[in-house]
Amino acid sequence: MDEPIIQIRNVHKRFGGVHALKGVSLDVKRGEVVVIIGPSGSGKSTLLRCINRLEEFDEGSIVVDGIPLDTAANINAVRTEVGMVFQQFNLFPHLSVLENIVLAQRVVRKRSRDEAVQNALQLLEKVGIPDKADAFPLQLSGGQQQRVAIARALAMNPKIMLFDEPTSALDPEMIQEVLDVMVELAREGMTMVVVSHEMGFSRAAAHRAILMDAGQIVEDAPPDVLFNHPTQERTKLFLSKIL
Amino acid sequence: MEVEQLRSMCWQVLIGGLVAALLYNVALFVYAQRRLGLILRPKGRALRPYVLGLVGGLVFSFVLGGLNGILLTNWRPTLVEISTVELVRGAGEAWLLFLPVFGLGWAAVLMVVQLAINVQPVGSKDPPKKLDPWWLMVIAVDLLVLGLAFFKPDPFQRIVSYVRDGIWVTIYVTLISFFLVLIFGLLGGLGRLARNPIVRGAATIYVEVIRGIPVLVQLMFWYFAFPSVIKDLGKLLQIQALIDYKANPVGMAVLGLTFCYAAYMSEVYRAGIQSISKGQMEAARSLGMTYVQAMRYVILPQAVRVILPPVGNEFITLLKDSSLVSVVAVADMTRRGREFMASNFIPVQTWLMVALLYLLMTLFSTRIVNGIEQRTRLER
Repeated sequence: MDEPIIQIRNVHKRFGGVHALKGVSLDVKRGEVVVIIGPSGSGKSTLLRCINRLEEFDEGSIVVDGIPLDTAANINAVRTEVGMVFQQFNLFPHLSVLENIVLAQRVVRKRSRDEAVQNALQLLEKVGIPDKADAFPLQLSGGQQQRVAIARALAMNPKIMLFDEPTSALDPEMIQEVLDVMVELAREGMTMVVVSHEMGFSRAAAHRAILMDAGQIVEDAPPDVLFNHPTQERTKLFLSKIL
Repeated sequence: MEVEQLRSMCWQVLIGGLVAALLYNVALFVYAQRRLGLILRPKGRALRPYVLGLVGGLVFSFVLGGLNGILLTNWRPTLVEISTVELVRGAGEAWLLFLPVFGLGWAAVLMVVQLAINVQPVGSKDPPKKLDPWWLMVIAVDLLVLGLAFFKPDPFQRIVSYVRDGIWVTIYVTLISFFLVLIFGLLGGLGRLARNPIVRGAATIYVEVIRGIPVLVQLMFWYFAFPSVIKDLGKLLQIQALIDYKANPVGMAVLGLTFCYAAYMSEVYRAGIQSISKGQMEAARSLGMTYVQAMRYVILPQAVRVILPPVGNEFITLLKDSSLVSVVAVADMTRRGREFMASNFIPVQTWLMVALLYLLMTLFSTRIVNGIEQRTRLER
């Protein structure tokens, strides 16, 4: 039996007086796609950001692919294995689309320029915008920018992809093009943790859905169970508001 | 050295300067042709003004450059034999110093031609690119300096000749200090943003203390007080090298200006870095970059574009404040002006000339900074 690729044990996080995570424990298996939902302020983004240590946690432990998140060297090692996609895309506006994807491959993975460019062009093909290589991020639509951001994260050949509300900043007609890329990625067997309220994606690709509230995991079940026959009152209440 | 030998050296310098001016003009011609499409057109009625502009520009800039080079070196043909050494040195300096000015006449003619005809660059549908009209102001001040030196050589040409070496001191004190300020300001700015409270505290104290003390007082401290502190320290530790320590005026001036301006500059850097959204750092770190890599490849390239105007501003302020080093025995332009006045008693003309020379330098720097800014602007 495979060891879980992400092991989160009793993680606490406080922002000043706010107790954002109250002892969260979670295992994610290799190749699993986990969707996290919950009201704003429930700690779902914070939990996601703890996985690659963009957020420090106060108590507990997280082990990613056998590497504990403790020393600076380990944290960096984990970050190279974990790709992250942000709500606000966070592309580098001073670099062309191609250079956005090439930069970290060169600097972190120490690949040759030819190899990095080759890789970048393939990934742009994969996310469906091969003709935008020389454009600058701010010349693209939100959906295109988010797809570039996905390609940029994939260029590092991550074992895990984290998505922090990847479609929340997009116009409705651009959401689907990003979700299509994500579904495709899930089919290929990528381990994914996704904070998103997109039911379409959950139904099409997720293995598990988790509801968080007030810094705790309330319910953890397969998506059709969680969305259609939730056992917890809190889940029912939340779903009644977003559906 | 033989007079003949000196004279030939002197001609070599002048001819070298003319060649440099010619190359400069050719470069400017190519630039104008490529960027503005102004000079050569395959055919059409409008050809003549461009030919006139080309010839006129060449003549104008040669005259301007030549005057700059020759007038400012006290050159009188009958005196060649007497002051050849001085002439060789002076001509070389003057050519170098005013090389940027050679092209200005050329640029002025281009601009006049362009404004008069308002042409479309060849093969382009874009609106014609205008040369920055504020260059006219630089040219005007330059012409004023030259005009005064030419039509009223006594005292204006004498003043310029006298403060000439001070111009160099002002320029290199400013440039060296500014280069160091850019480096130490960056360190200070990063220190202000450090997570380590000791580093952050030290950087904050440095900035707050330095900003609270007038730069003149700081310069006095470095030149007068600091060396005697070193001497006392030497006596205390019985180290002869420290007891014999003598302050080098230029070194102390550069140290003082750097120490002071780096504090201001670190605030500029800090503001620039903070203006870049936090998401940029997070994105870079999430890709596995270290803090230093993220700074170098992601944050600073963006911050530099943001801070360019205030950095340019700091440069110009530093150029002007470099006049304060005249109180600590550095023979800069201001001090040379004061020395000239002390022996000639013509304050109005002396300080008018010194002021114009500073103005020429600052206006010129402003244009350069402005050009860089236009070029590096991010598409938003």
